[in-house]
Amino acid sequence: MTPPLGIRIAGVGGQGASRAAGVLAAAALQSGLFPTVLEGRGLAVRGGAVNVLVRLAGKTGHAPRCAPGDVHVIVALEPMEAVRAAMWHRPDTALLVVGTPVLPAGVFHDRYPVPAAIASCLQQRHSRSLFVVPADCRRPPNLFAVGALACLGATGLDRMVIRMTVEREMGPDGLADFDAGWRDVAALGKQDAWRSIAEQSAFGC
Amino acid sequence: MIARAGIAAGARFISGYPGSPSSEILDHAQRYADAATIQVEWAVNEMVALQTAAAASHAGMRAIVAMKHNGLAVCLDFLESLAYTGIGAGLLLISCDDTQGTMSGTKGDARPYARLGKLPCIEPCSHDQIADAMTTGFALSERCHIPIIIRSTTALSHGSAPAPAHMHYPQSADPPAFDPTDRVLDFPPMVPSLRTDLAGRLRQAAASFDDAALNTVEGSPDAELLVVGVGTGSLYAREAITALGDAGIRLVALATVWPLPRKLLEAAIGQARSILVVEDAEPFVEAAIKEIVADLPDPIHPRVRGRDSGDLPGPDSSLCGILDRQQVIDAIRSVLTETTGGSVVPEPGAPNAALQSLVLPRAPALCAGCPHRSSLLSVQAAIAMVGEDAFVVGDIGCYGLGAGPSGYNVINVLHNMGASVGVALGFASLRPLGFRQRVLALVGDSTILHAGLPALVQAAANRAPLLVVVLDNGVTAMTGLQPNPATDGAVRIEAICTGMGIETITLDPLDVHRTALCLAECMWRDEPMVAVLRSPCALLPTAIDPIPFAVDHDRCIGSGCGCDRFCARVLGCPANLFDEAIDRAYIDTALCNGCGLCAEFCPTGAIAEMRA
Repeated sequence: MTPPLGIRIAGVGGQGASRAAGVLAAAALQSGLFPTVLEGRGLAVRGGAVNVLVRLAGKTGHAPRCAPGDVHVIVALEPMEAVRAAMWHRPDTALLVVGTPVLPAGVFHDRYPVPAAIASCLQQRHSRSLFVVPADCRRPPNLFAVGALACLGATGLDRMVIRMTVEREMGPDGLADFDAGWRDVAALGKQDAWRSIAEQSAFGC
Repeated sequence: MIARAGIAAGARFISGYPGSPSSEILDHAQRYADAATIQVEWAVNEMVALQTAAAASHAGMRAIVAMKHNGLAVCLDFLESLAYTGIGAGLLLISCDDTQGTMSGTKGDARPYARLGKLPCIEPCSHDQIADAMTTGFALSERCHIPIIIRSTTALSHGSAPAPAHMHYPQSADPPAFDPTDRVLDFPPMVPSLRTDLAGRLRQAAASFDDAALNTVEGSPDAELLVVGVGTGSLYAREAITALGDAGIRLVALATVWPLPRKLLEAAIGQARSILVVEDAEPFVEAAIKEIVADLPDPIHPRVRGRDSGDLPGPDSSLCGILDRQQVIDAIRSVLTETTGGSVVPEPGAPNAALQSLVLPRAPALCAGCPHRSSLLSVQAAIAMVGEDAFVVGDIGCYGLGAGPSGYNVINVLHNMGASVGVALGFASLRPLGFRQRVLALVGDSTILHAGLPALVQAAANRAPLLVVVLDNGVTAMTGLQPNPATDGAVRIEAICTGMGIETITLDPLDVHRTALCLAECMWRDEPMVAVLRSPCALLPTAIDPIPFAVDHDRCIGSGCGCDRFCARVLGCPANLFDEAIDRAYIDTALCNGCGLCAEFCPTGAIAEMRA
């Protein structure tokens, strides 16, 4: 029996990782699934590294925390946080990286790795990886990432259910971000490219 | 979930002190509670929270008091007394244990305190079970006249899952009243009889736990391996057993963790040759089950394994406090194959090396416009001016980031809430023995009221030569902007300190130069001094005028400045950035809170308000 579908959202405090997880969980609940969310709080909200685990299951009774091997998809809202999350996971974990660098406090630009080098290193290790940069970098990348993930089909959730959830909980600005994420991934010809992840997981059933 | 379940179970008085991962309980309770029938209030500290909840209980109201695990230690003295006297209506103490220690000074485990304080402890196995745990807890509390500790681990406190649909909130209730003839006395002559009575009530609780529906037993009684999943440990255990295809394993999902349900466990052990205990944090239940097994008749003496035996990461591992399915799978395999000791779970330290080389640390930072940034700069400058190995004793709150790079590594000694004043007082009191260094204590507004005042009273009485700097941002910010008694000036910290006979000054931390000079001058005094550095938290809507600042690129001279990029690197404000392509600093206007600190220090005067 497979474990529930595991999604790890990694980012920087303030980027909305928890909100993105909440939207996915609400959409899953709407779809008849049993989601759990485990947030990292406390010091994380002060610009530190943030990780949120979302597990989508077809039945109740699973733990909110899962082992690195039980994470199917990493959604990173910042390039270096993608690396920080990915280094603990197996190469067959899918990797969606959205957003532009957010420098840690006190760090020079020239010490931050070149984003292209990060992408190259991650792509070499993770055969299933996608890097998308939102056109509007001033907006938080969280709902753009949800849109991109929905377009890839990795959650197995119906697009309209997620979209309606975003609209209900995040309003028109959030919906615009979601649609932009969907549109950018679709433009790359990647619609439903990761649907097999949800199908193989079968939500632990 | 905990707040909703508590209210649905009849809680009418809810108190607590904020601290991750417990703060959300009262935040949510305030949302769900009907103010006409339920009182929700933040207390000045956990001890007072428990004392007020005890009074509510004595007055006939079911009460909840919520805190993080450190708070349980703060209120243990009163808790023990309350166990002796007994209570009125049901009283639940929610201890939210930070089992990993990711947001605390220590890893948390309430269960040893339950044993020490002689209080029953329930640890819900899942979000599904929280509502039943609260209902059971209140009923048991009233039947045994004793407070019940409800232990919530991080997976419950910061996890979320669908809530049961059957929760209904009571709409009306009788007014509270206390019968003065029903005396509640923890009075020395009565202590021996109170202790005897308490032992009887604990036996009653233990008997009740033997039949508690919160505990479940799954699998064949003939199984050779019994897995005891404690609280949320049962979820990981069940997932692991399922992944292993059952393999003839019996599972006890244990929610009543102290006193242990001895009869239930003895029956569940059956023919088991091994017992694997899966629990969050310390091997508490593992040790307690060893005591039960030692009393079993021959030849039933299964080997008890878990964290202490090394089958799961033990207290000497950084992974102690974390559970997941794979850890339990590995532990079950090691037990089934009779591998002895030595956790098979790799320590963190085996990440992919190529990726690891790309990673920079991302320490938490003070927010853009945070007045603590200015305060810490002032303290740093004052310490430098005083010299003679002067140093800073801090404690926890947002300003605790002064122990790290975003707070300029200003703090030299850091302990728990309010410890800064007491520890600094201790250093200052060494002067008759030849201690000559000047000491500065750094404490927040909420923290000094929480636990700093007794030490300050002693400093006043002893005329100890130390400077206490109170960083008053008007709110308990670190845990989510909860109010405290100093919020909106309800209590004036200056009035408290001057009332003690301590000379007290108030400074604007955004005026760094004046503040630094004043602090240095205060440190030279040979008597206690208090400096209140008051400026509102930058996250409050009423904070400083949010006119953002901008960099004039014609005046900015980039890396030729010679200031080592003070604004974009040293200052550590998230809004101050540097554009390598054009070799100029810039400001993220979306983040800038308009504090003006960077403008004050720019050597070329290139930073100014963005006025139309």
